[in-house]
Amino acid sequence: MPAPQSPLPTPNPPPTAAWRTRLGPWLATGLRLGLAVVMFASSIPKFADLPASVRAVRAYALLPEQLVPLVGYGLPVIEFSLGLLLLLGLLTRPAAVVVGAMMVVFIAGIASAWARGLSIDCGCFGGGGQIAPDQTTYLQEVLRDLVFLAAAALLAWRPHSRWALDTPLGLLPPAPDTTKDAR
Amino acid sequence: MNAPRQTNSQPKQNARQAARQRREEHQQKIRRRRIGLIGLAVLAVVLAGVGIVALVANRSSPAVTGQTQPRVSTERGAIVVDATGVVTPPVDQPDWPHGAYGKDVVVVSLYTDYLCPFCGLFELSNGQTLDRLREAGEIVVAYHRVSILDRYSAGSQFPTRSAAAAFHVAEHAPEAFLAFNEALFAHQPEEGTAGLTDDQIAGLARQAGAPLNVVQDIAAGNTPRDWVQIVTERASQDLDGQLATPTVLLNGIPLDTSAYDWRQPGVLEQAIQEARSRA
Repeated sequence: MPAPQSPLPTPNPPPTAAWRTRLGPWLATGLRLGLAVVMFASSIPKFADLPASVRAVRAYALLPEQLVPLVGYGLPVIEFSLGLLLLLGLLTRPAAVVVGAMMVVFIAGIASAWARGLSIDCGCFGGGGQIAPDQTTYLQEVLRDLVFLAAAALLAWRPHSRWALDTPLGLLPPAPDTTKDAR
Repeated sequence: MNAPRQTNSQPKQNARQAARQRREEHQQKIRRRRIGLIGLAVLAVVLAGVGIVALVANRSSPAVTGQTQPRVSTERGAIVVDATGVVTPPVDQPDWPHGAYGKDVVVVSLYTDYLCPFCGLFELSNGQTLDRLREAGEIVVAYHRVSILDRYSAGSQFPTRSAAAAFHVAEHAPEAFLAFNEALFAHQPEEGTAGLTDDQIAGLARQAGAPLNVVQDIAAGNTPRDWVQIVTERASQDLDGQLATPTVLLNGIPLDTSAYDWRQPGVLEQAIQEARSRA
């Protein structure tokens, strides 16, 4: 019988399938709830001042005037709905895909305002509109949305999470790592 | 474990695997149908939500409220003051025509929110200069009172209430408008506070010389608040979404604040003289 080479336990055991099975869903739960909070934090201030939401959209000077009010009113509704879906863990994967797509659009919009030399607040969490040129924070806004985009992509890739309605409703395919656990 | 048993069970295993695959495909079909149904339901709720929000937000549109344009206001929401005082724009004009005062009179348009600290600073730095030039007949001032800072008023909507009071005073006590405008800036609250109550705003109107019935209207909140919402939206459109306060237009052209720092004495007057020579 081969004896252990060393009496010490192996340092830093490589992450095993079991490790990922146990932690993956918790990570997904964190991403889900975190993105839900982001969606609520961005929609509720817009509801509180809808005319400002319309003005914030107009400030980008990208959309034709007929579409500006529609987006100004529609965006908070969509964000709030995505927040609810993520909070409940209902349709997690489609919700994460939509959030990610929205982040791509937001990043493009902010970058375009930046490139055109506008001085506006992104209006991401309410407010928005023109501000003094030295008060713009385009880089921070883009980096922040990139973080949200990464979170959404990760969640769309591995949407299995705890406390999610998707599980009892059977809306997710069996997770690759948890197939063995599935009854 | 021995080899023969494994060989014998091979066909059985294949059959089991095929059955499992069929089962998984069936489950996937069910899953997709369920996701589609729930997705459609969610989409319907979201669309209904957008409709409701648009309806609620349109409460302040002129068509819904029947809010009529105060006679003293231009269609775009300006209170125009010349050397003689507040002017009632002609009814048949869609908006106050720039240049209506002659070639040499510069129209200075001010977009202002009574809660905006820089608007208070602008009034402090340039109020007297503008009064002097206006009284000399060199300029007319178009006061656009807008409300873009309601969210910084601790829920009290001070920008909308104060701007509506300004329209009300200009309409019913035009001789008190300039003093009332000045008093609102002199008593400007800090951002993030509820600001002045309707009673306090009415008190300022009283001090500015407005008659009692106008003062009572303001105290009772009987002022054209919907009109302020309408003209704020129009101002945002007119400035291509770049509505900030204060925004200064000279004969309709935005003042380039990077070239003309109006905080410095004489700079605004210089810009006005240059606008006159361009006209």
